[in-house]
Amino acid sequence: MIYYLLMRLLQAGFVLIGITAVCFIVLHLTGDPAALLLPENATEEDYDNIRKTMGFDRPLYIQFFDYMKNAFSMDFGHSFQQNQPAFKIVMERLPATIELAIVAFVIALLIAIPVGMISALRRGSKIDIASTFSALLGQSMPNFWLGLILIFFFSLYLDLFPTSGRISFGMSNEAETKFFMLEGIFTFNFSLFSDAFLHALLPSITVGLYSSAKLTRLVRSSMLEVLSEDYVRTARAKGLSNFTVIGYHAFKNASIPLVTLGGIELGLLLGGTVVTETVFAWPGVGLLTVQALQNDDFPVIQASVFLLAFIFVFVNLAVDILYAFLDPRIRYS
Amino acid sequence: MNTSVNNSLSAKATNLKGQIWTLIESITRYKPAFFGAIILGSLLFIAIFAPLVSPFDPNLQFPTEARVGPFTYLEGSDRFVLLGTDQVGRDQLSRIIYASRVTLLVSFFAVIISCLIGTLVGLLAGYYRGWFDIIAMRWVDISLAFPFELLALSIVAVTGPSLTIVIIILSLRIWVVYARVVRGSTLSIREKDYINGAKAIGAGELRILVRYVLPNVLTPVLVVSTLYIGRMILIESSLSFLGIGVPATTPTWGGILGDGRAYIDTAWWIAFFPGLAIMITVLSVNLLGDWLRDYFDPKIDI
Amino acid sequence: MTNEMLELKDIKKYYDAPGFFLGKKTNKLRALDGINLSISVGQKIGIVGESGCGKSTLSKVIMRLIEPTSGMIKLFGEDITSVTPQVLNKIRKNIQIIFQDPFSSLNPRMRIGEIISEPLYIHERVFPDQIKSQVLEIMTAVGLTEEFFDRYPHQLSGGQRQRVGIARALILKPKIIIADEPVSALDVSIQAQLLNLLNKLHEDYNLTLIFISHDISVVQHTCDKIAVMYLGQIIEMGDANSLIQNPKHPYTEALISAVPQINFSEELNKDKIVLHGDVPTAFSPPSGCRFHTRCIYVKERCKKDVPVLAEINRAHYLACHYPLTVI
Repeated sequence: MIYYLLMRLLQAGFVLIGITAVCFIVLHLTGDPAALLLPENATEEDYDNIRKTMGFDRPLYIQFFDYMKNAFSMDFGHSFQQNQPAFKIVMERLPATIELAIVAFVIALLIAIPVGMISALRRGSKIDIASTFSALLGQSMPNFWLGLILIFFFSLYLDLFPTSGRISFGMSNEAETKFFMLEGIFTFNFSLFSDAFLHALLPSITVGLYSSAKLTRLVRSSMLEVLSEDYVRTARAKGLSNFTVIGYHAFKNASIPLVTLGGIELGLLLGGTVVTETVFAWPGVGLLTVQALQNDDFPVIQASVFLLAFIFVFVNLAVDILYAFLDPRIRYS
Repeated sequence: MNTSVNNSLSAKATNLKGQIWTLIESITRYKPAFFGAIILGSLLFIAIFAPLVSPFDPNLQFPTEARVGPFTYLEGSDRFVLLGTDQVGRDQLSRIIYASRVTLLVSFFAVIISCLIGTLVGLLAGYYRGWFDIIAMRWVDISLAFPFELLALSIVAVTGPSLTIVIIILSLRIWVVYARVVRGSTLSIREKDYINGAKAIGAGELRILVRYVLPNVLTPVLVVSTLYIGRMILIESSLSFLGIGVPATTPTWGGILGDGRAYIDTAWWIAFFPGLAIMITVLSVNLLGDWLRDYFDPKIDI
Repeated sequence: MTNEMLELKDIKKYYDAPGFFLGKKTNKLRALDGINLSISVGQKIGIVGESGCGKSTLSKVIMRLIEPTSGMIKLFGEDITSVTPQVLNKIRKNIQIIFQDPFSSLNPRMRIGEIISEPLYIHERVFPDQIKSQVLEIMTAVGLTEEFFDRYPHQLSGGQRQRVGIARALILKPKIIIADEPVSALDVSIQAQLLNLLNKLHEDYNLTLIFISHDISVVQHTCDKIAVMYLGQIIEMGDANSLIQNPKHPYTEALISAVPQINFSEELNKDKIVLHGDVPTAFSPPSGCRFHTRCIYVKERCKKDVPVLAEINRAHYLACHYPLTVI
């Protein structure tokens, strides 16, 4: 198992280096990185300055090491728009994206696990067919389209939910941290929580639907496989109640692939938030990146790409470690 | 000395004509896949014959007739706009029809490129093993963990939106799936006796790979292709929606949707119909792909 | 000596067991442990043994489909153990092999005609129309009619596929054919047909036949010389009929007695020799005589000394400390 974990760690390291390298290459793609790092109204003097301080005239491999050093110490330069360190800006927006991803993930699981299990248990029935088809439908929908439809229907037409943003104007003053919902729960600030939650519901559904569809199918097929195994028959023969058999024994084994793929989904969700944040004007890292793209704010782009990738790799690694603990086969290989 | 042989083709014929017939037979029996096949066929037809099928020129702007709802007859330009007009008065239906071309083009090319690269790498890795295999598989694992959409973002940040970049990025994302699947198949095929037989009669490596291994590996390749086309269409439309995919001058479904976003409260149809088109297309592809996978080998791990 | 078509001298094939630690002595799988064999022109030799004795490995080593760990292979008097692939390819025209499993020995994506004509394409630059006539000729010789030419393997029965395998092996008119359990996967009635076919081809084409099987009755039917293998070694070898009538090695005796007889009275009178225990693993063969753990006549010496294959009669070889005497 140590071998397995070491390999995963090494891989994660490689991916991070790879990402840094890619950002570095992209930076130098046009040949004049200075032009990318300076805002439009920069003077000749600024150009000279930056060339000297960044050392663009040095050999590339030296620059690369420097770049890596900077990246890992989280120095990406300053944003053009806001004249603050790029990384700081990105970090400020992180809690929003994290909350969104978590709520989406929870919703996805809340749908996937029950629906998947019922589908497996009542295989071939109308419920099964309906839910399988819905899952397929969910995986075929572009999530930004779904988001727009949800806004149109629930927010504009039915006026049930706010159309955008994270929290109502003025409410943000009530919160100390940027984790509005979590804080609302932990400080028993119900109005804060409910306000934040209402804002978050539609976006989370949008982000989570694709994952929930995928996970439903996964739960279903995993359960089907497990249910046909001999040990389920044995458990039933032992006289255990159906509920124990299914709820505990079967589910425990069926959940192993769920954990791995679920974890990967969580990582993917982070990427998926980019589009949804744009649709719902959710002030997270994704929206920041898109705005930065439109404004050619390259330091911010670099910082957010790197950060998101880092989180993604980290989540994958965590999932791999968790998997090693769950699956005895890996543990003893 | 011989017993008389059954002349009819068995259910799993391996020659091409027989396979196609049994495939068609099977599809018609399984309704969802049939539905998917019909839709895709129509889509292909529409995309290829867009100029003939499209009621109007998609680029003609009639600012006075902007944001008109579906099912309306416009007197000024003498048009019946089935799906309404967009913010500068262009007929939505025609735009969507023409945009289908881009969608199909992009996914088609991306699939072809990834398929070629992935199959080649998978074949060589699976057949020869050794260091190439080890490196290739490490690369595949890393690729699967690599967030490609972010890569797309950063490249486009520098180069600006471009059709070629989108295709390249999609291919980079997908080729590893092919490599993995092909490698798996190759590993099991190379142990079979007919490979030994080929070596025994003196066949060279190239001949063995092309004549003996490759044709037997094609089934999973086909299944992967159909299953991933849907995902690629979705990714491409996301990129176009954000404005970082295909340049805005060429209409794509994602792009039209992106334009329509600002008008969701006044002209919801601008955003609705392209999204519907995407969903129907991807659904059909997925239905077909699922059925194909069940037909050939339900246990394929993708 | 010059009459010998094929000679194997002290052929060994060891496989490394997957070991976890470098530097530690890993166990070796001794698939072939010192095989000495010589085959003359026109002979039909049968190699018999149970699963795991190494006979399939031997068949592949002879053709160098698997490389021997050590030892020498001589073909027509020339050492081919380490010749280059180019030379080997030319040599392969002279030895061909028929495989055991008719289902996996033919490429499912090639038509029968293509399968049989492959060797011609590879070795000789022959024109397509000439190829077809040669292929049809061979097909007739193995008993397949012309209508099979365009069919695919899955449309043929097991027996028919084996005929295709034979045709493919024959088309280059090789001098030696190795048949690796060619009938084991077939129904008994088909087996008889195919064995007769092999005999006939042996005569018509002046072949030398190496027949590998686990079934000694089959081998007796076809071959004039038999070699019995156990755990990677030849333990008895000699003329087919005399070996079957008077086996000198306990293992051979057991193999023969295991064959069901149709004649009832003989069947009831004979006691079957039942070997106890399972075949030991080839990873660490028993000390001394490898067979001693299952031999019903085992004595002290058998556990310590390794018996060497020696000629006890004219052209009869045996590796045993206590040869059986005629009862």
